[in-house]
Amino acid sequence: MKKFSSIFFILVVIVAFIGCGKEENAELSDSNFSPTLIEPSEIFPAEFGMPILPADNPFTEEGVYLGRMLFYDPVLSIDSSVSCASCHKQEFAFGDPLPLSVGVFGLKTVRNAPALFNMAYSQKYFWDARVNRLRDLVFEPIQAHNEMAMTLSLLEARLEDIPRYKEYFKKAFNHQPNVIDMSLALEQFLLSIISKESKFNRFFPGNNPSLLTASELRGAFIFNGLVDFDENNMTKGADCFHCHGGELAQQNNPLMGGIANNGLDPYPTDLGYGKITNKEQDMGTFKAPSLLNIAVTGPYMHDGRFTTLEQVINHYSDEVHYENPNIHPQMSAHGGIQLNLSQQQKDDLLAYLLTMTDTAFLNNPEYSNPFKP
Amino acid sequence: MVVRKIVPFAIAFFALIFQSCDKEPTKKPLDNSEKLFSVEFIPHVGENDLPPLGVNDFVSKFGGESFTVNNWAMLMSDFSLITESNDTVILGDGYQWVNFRANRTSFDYKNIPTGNYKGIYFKLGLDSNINHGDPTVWPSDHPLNPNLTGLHWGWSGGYIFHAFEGMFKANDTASSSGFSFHTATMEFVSEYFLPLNFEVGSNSRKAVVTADAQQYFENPNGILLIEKAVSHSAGESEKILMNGLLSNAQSVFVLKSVE
Repeated sequence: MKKFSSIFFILVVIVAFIGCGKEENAELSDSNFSPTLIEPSEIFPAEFGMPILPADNPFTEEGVYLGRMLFYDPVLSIDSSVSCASCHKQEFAFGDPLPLSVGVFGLKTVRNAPALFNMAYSQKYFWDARVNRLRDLVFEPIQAHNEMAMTLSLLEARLEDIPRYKEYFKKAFNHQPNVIDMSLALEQFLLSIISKESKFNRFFPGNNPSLLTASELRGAFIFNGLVDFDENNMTKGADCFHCHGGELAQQNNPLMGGIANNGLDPYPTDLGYGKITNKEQDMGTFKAPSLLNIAVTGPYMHDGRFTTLEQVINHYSDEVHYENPNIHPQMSAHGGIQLNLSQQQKDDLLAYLLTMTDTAFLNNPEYSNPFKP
Repeated sequence: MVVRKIVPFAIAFFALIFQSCDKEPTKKPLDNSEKLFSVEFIPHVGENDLPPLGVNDFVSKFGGESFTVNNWAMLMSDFSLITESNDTVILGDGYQWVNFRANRTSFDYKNIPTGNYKGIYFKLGLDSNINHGDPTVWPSDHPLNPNLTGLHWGWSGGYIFHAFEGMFKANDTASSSGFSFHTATMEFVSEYFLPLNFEVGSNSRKAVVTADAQQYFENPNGILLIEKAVSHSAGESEKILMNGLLSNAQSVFVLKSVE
C-alpha cells in the first residue's frame, strides 16, 4: 500500500509541474518591465498612409533594437558565418549585388535576394509571395540548408548563452531568449525600415515638376502614361505604374498587379507563386517589387537575369513574351504588341528611375550594423 | 481497505488535473438583440456562378468571343437601403470595397431600423472631395485606404472606382489576350438602384446581389474586345468604351433576394 501511495504522490507532483504543458516564453519576474513604446506615426510617414500592422507586436525601442542586432548577427547561422545582412546589405537597399546569394558552406540561394524596405505596406513576402507575415518569413532563411542551415533548438540554446541577448530579450519581452520572441523582434526591425526621401518621393505626386530635369520629367510621363499607339505605332506611355505605382512605387494589393507574370519567359521553369497555390493561373507569377532604390537593387528579376536597368527597359519595350498565358492582363490589354520605345524614351525612362534612389536611407545609421562602431 | 486509502489520492489527483489548467475564458453569449443585415455579392455569368477568378476557364460572350476574369473590384459609396417612403439608411459609413478574387464579398451591418424597404442603392465611385482628397487619412482597414485595396492611381487622378480585368479570345482558335477596364474620374461615377421589396423585422436578414460579368459586354451595348480591350477612363476612344461599359453595368447588378 505504501508503494501504491508513493506512486500516486509522484504522479500528483508530475501533473502539478507538467499538467498543462510547458509555458513557452516564461516571464521573468520583473515588476519594472516597461519597454519604451514607439508610436507607428513615428515610423511611418504620413504621406504613405497607415499600413496594416500586427496588433500583437507593438513597436518598442528595445524590440526594434533587438531585431536589428539579430539581423546583423551571424550566430543565427549554423557555422556562425552568415547573418541576414550577409545577403541583405544596406548599401544595396538591403538587397544583394549577386544574382544568387551565397549561404553557409558556399551554397547558393535559388532566387535573387529581394531588397528590404517599406515592407509594412506589403501583404505578401518573398518573390513567390508565399508568406503573409514577417515573423513567419524569418524562420525560412534561418532554417534553409543553403542559407543559414540552423535548427531552432540550437539557435535558442545559443541565444540563451549570449549575455547581450539575455539582457535584450528581457528588456524587450521580459522573457529568456527564445525563437518566438526572436521572430517578433526581427519583425519589428524589418517593419521599421523605411525609405522615403528619394528625389522621386519629393516630386510625388507630381505637383512640383521643377524638381526634375527635362529628361526625368519626360520619363515620368512615360512611366505613368498608358500604352496607346499613335498612327506611327509609337506609344507615349509604357504603363509602368500599374504594378509599380504610388509613392511606394509598388502595388500593395497582390490582386491589382502586386503579383504578376511580366512575360520574361514563354514557358517559365520557375513557377513562382504557382508552386505555392498549385493553380494554373498563378504559374510563373511573382511579386512585383518596389522600384524605389532600383539603381542599387540589381541584378534584376527573381533570378537576377538582368544586370543593368537598360536591359530591364529593353525587356519591357522589346522582348516581352506575350504568348505566356498567365501574363498580366494589364500588359497584354493593348493587343500584345511590343512597345518599341525609342532610344530617347528609354533614356528618359532610365533617368526617371534613377530619381528613385534614397541615399539617406542607404546610409541611415538607424538601420546599420549595431556591432560596428 | 486499499480502495479507501486510494480514494483521497485519486480525488486530489483529478482535482489537480482540473485545477492546474488555465480556465477557458467565459464565452460571452450571443446577443440575439444584435440582428444583422448582411449583403452578399455573388459573381455570375448568366444564371450560373462565374468560374473562380483567375482560372483560365473561358466563358462565351457577345460576338463569338470568350473571356475569363482575373480581377474584379469595386469601390462603393452611399451604400444604403432605401425605405418604402424613400428615406435612406446608410450601411456602415456608406463606403465599401468589394473584391471578388479576394472573396471580400459579404458585409454585415447592425442596427438597421425595422420597416419596409424597396431596394439597395450604391454608387461606383466617390464624391469629388473624397476622390481628390488625401488618401492617406483613412485607417488601415478602411475601404478607402489605398494600401489595403490598391485602388488608387497614386497620382493626382484619384481612386479607381471599378477594376474589371481578364483575358479574352477572339474566337475558339485564337490565343488569349488581356482586357482591362479601370473606371475613374468624376465623369464616370455611376449610380445603381437595385429594386426589391423586403422587410427588416426582428430577425437577421441577408440580401443577395448577383453581378453578371457577361452583361458588361452585351446589354444594351455589344462590346467586342478584339476592337478595343482597354479603357482607363481617359482619352476619347477610351471614354466611349467606358461609357458603353457603364451603361451595360446597369444590367450587371441584381438584388436577387433578401432571405
